[in-house]
Amino acid sequence: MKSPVSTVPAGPESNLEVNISSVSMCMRKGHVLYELDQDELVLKPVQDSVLGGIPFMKHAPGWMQRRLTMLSRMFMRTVSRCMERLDIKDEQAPLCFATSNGEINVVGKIMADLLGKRHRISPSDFQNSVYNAPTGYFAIATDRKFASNTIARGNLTFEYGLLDAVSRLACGERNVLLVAGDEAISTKWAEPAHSSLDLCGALWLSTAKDLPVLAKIAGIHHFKPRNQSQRREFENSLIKKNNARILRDHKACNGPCSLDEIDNPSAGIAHLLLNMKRDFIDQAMLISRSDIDQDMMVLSVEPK
Amino acid sequence: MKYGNQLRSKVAVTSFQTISSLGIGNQETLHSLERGVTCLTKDHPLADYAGCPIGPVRNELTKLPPTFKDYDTRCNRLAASCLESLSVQVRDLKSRHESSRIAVVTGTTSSGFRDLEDKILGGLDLGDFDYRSTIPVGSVASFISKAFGFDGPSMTCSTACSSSGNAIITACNLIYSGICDAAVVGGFEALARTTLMGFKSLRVIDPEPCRPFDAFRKGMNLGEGAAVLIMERVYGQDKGQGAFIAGYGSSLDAHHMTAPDPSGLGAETAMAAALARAGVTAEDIGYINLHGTGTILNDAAEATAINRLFGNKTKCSSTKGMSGHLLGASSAFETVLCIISLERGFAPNNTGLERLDPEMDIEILDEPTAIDKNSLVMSNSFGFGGNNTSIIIGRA
Repeated sequence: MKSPVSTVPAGPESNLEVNISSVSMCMRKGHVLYELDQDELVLKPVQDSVLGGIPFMKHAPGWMQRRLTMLSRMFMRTVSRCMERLDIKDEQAPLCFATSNGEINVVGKIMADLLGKRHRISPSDFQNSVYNAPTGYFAIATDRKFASNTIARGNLTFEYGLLDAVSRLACGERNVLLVAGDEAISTKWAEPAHSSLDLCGALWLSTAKDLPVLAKIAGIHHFKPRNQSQRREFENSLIKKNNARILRDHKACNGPCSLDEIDNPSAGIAHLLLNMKRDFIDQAMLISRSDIDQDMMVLSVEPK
Repeated sequence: MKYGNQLRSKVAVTSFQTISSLGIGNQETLHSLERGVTCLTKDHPLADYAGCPIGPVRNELTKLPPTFKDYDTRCNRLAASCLESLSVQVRDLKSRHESSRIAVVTGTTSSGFRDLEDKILGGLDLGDFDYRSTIPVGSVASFISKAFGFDGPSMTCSTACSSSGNAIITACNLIYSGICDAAVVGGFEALARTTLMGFKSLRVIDPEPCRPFDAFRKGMNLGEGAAVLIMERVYGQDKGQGAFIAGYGSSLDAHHMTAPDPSGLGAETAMAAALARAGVTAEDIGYINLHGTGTILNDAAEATAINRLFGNKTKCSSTKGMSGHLLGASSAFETVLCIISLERGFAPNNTGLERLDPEMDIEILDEPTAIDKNSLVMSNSFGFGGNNTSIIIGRA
């Protein structure tokens, strides 16, 4: 096996130091909304109405407030909390949105309209159906005109979003806002995607020296093992080399369910954020494997 | 020229291929570009869904082997057909780089929608339908990596009509940052009833072949197709072969979900960022392949932005009058059109144009026109959510 890994040049081998400067997350299970307590890094129940009281939305036109999907609302709330924490209202940063299924429930409604008796599609459903709808609404509500990308890759979507964000920082950006989120799926033909709760999380990533540091991205490793033995060899070598703990080993999250029960393609961001207090004594690793092919990603993080 | 050696030592496009209503492969596409006539037709069962001509791919596409049954969609068959015709170049690419250092970055908006529609409308059993490997847009990148043996990172960008523009930008960032040495970048889009009816619901469809920038334009037509670019890091003074990505820029309009900012500010920001990254000025651009969908608002906003940044002397055209709008595939597709025409030293005409909108003070080409083969060209793509990308390409 020659150099089987693509690795972000973060860490001691390069001059690039990528820090997590602010975090936020919300999760909706059933009719209960939970939000990340940014000091204690645990999920706490909050009033569901906060999704209608997003600060950005005060300035948003009425048509937008009526049309926002649950994913867009959670996106706005999460970003709002992440930026409030840093007091960086006017900071312009490229935005990377990682979502595996995008606005799949809107697509489900469109399919039903197409194939049902209506045989016509609502224009607002159609404009809401694109993967980047939440970023478009966010830009309008906040007048942000910076570059924006939307990344998808099944249950590794958050990890690939992080890869995209860090590559931008490596290419000279000072800050990147990464948001990862997926809705619970209510469309029958999409059920195999296994998403039974709404989840959205945000990381403010920065190379700047003047922002707070919650944790440091020590590396992102991509690997495509040919078999189980290669996979184990790869995982063990990384763990041994960095004396790391594995984040997914912990089950409890002080929230509505155990970490194993976070049934959402963006679960990786929940595993990262809900373990940051507990595990960040040494380097910690988030090991994620694709559910449709051999791809795997390992994210290494270090305490500040 | 000032952009010369410095930029040519970075990301080269060493091979490329395209499939669309203009033809299968680069040669047929070139002939269509030289003829400059529309390839849009109403003679197709899906045309009725939007009540207008469309740009379908009529040739039979590569059938996926049984081992890829779960990935079998028209979108993935378009991708497979495009990549199979690059098999020699892919083999050479793998001989130059370790497979784990070759990324796959795709752009699409609808992935397997067409196939889902076919199954549901045909009353077929959805029991063997694998959602995860057909509908989420990320499955397209997974399919290409798996089917063609690329072991590097693979992901999909989905930002509506600028999807494959962002795929090109993402690939450049992966290569520049040292995460990868090369990337297989593609835009793939299959015509789907939902998108045809969706645009119809927005009332932005021209019932006749579209005529971007024309005084009497009524809207757009949709097409389908695939375009693949093999992008590689080229070191030192090696000029590489084919073409190179000189610069790229992106922006958000922050104006409206489907309508462009009439001031053209978002489009201008993306184009200006691309110029700045390339280290060139507007005068260095010999031709601009416009987003030019044919809708009243889109064309007006883009013309305003072009005029402000480039004045009215830079040669411009939209090729959507020939191919229709390939949505998520359009940026990669039109980037390939730019490379094909630049190699032959001409800029394609703006098909469908009869009388230029008098409000537009830009140089729209009404016939294929010679350009300097050594000039830089720009390709614009603007999407829903106000997502704008601009790519600058040169010949190696």
